[in-house]
Amino acid sequence: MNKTFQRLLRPALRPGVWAVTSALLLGGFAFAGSSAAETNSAPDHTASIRIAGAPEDDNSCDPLATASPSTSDGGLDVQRIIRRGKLVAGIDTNSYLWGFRDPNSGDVQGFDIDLVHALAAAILGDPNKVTLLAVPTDQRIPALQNGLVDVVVRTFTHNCAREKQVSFSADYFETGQQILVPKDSKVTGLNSSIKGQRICTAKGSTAEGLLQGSAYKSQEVPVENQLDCLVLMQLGQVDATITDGALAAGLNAQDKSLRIVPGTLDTEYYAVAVKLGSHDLVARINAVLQSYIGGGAWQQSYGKWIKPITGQNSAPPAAHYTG
Amino acid sequence: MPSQRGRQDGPGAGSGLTARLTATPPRRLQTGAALLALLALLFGVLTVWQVSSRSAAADNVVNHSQPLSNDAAQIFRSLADADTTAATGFLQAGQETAAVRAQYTDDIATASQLLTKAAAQSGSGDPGQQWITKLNAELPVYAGLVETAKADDRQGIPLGGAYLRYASGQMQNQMLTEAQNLYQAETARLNSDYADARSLPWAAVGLGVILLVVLVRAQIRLFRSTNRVFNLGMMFATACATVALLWLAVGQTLSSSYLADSDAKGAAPLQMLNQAEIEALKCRAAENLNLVARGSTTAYEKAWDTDSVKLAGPGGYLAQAQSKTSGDATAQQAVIAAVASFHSWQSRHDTAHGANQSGDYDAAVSDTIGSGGGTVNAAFTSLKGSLDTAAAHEQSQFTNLADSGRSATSLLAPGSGVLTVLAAAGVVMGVNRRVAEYR
Repeated sequence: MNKTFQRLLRPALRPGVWAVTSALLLGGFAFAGSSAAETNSAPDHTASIRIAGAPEDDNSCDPLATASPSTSDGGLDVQRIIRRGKLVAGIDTNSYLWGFRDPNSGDVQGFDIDLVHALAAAILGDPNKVTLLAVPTDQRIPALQNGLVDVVVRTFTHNCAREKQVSFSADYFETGQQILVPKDSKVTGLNSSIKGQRICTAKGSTAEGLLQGSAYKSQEVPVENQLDCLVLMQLGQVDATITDGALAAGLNAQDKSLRIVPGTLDTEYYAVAVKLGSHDLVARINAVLQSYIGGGAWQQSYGKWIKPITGQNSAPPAAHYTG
Repeated sequence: MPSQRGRQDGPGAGSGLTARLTATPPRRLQTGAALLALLALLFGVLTVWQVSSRSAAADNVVNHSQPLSNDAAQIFRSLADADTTAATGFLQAGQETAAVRAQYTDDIATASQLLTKAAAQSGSGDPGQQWITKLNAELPVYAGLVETAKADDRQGIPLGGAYLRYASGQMQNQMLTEAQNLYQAETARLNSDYADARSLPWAAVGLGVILLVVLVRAQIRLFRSTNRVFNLGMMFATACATVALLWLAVGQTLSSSYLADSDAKGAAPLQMLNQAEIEALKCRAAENLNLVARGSTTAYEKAWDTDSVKLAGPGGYLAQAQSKTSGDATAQQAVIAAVASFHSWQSRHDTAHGANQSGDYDAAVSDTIGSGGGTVNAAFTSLKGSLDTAAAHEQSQFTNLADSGRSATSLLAPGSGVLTVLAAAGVVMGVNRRVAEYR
């Protein structure tokens, strides 16, 4: 893990890169938009099917809004991490490509894990000063509330309902709920074609909430982890799985006999979550994200984990900084 | 006798059977003798029947229901151990040791053999039959899931862990519940066989007492009417009936007491030890699977918490096993050793759990499945070893006491049969002596 990681981070750690990053930092937040311009395919919104009235569709906030970046280490929450000398991150070990344990090497790796190491590198000066704590999907918020972890970097969707319970950094990935089905399935989306089918979702996930509010929900099968859905699908116990497109890609990568139904059911953004009200930490993380994205490490990690599976380019969404 | 009856046939012949049988003193004597002999034979038949049915029940305990109950416990143990071992092998990943692999294969083979044996020994109306059928169908499916998990794991994809958790879910929630039901059905049958074997034959004893009272009263009346003190035939009959009755009462009481001991000092502690081992295996599986799941669920942590209390909490299986073996130094010592092993297990579990909670997964894994003296595995193995020692001791206690119980009545049925026939013959001979004096 360490070697892979250092290789990955090398560009980010070079002085030149830091110079560019600083320039970007000073230049404000235009970088996100500029990198979006370099890539061509953010999720195809024309094909997406909106679910009106779904409980997760709480429009009381702007999910892209977040605190302005700051490299100050003076805040209480950042200081706590620095004094400890370790960043404790809540992660997943069962999401292929995002956060998973390579059974052969025992290393935890993936797109989210790269970001955790980048956070440690920036805040503590060493990408390996991290403690990776595996947290179940429905324990992500309690783990932050109980102070068990400093950050949750675990394909965690930034939405308004959750913003009342935890604080979010700038969003670092755009995705949307997608439906994963066997290749010969007749399902075309969350519409009449899915009526009567057994649908698998992870407990406490965005997909679960979305399905609850849908007129087409029929036989819901809740599981602990989206990976369990793949087992049930292979054993013929469910007909479809709804999960984040990013995770669906990870599932599809493990079983090529499945397909992802084109189009997303909504638009969602992943962000780093911290304890509610830890504004200094959010600002510090946003600064790290700025340099991580601006310095090319984001694209490098994306190219390593996600692109080989989806074959699509992507870019992080542009953040809306507030004060 | 026919000649006498012919001679006495007279005017009252038409007035009914009773009148005819009691027409003259010798006829009354003969009728009384016949009734008394019949009573003795009835006592014999009842004794043979009641004793044989108790012996058959005792045979069932020793040869059928106790082994089946024990086999059912073994089926449970093999299945639970297979699940635990599969998780250990999975955690060892590419480095799965030959010993772990062999243990898993043995567990599956043992469970499969015992299920086949149990199926052969139970009829279609058997309460355990439905569980045997289900388990027989599910075992190969489970083994297939475990192999899929390992294959996926070797591919380097996380799906393997999810498969293993699914397989284990089938085992823990479905198959082990069925195995527990099978064990309970077989143990209920054992207890009912015990009850049958130990119930005292009150009908036979009661009839024996009546027989003796009637025999004594008959002799007193005979003494009054004939003025002769001793009637050898009647005395012989009384002696035979007394011996048969005493033998019956003493033999059955002795047998019942041995069988009660075989239950209290053998089968009952054995059942508790089986339960303790089953619970220990559940704890071990929860512990291993928590590491396999690695943060995808908190279910296994909760399972450890509840199962470890059931095993070693106040009034748990270990405490009950300790109180049930209190009269037996060997078993008691083994159970105390098991309790001590659990305490080191618990503290090592806490250490490994702490390591996992603070993100040191590798340390948690090596603390939990690593070999060596100070590991969780060592504590668990020693706990299992102590329980097995205690169980082997209780099993031999059971066999010895149950055999004593069976041999206490082994000659009782034929013996009491012969004695009551002799008693009947004695009555007839003794009375015939007196009847002859009327000629």
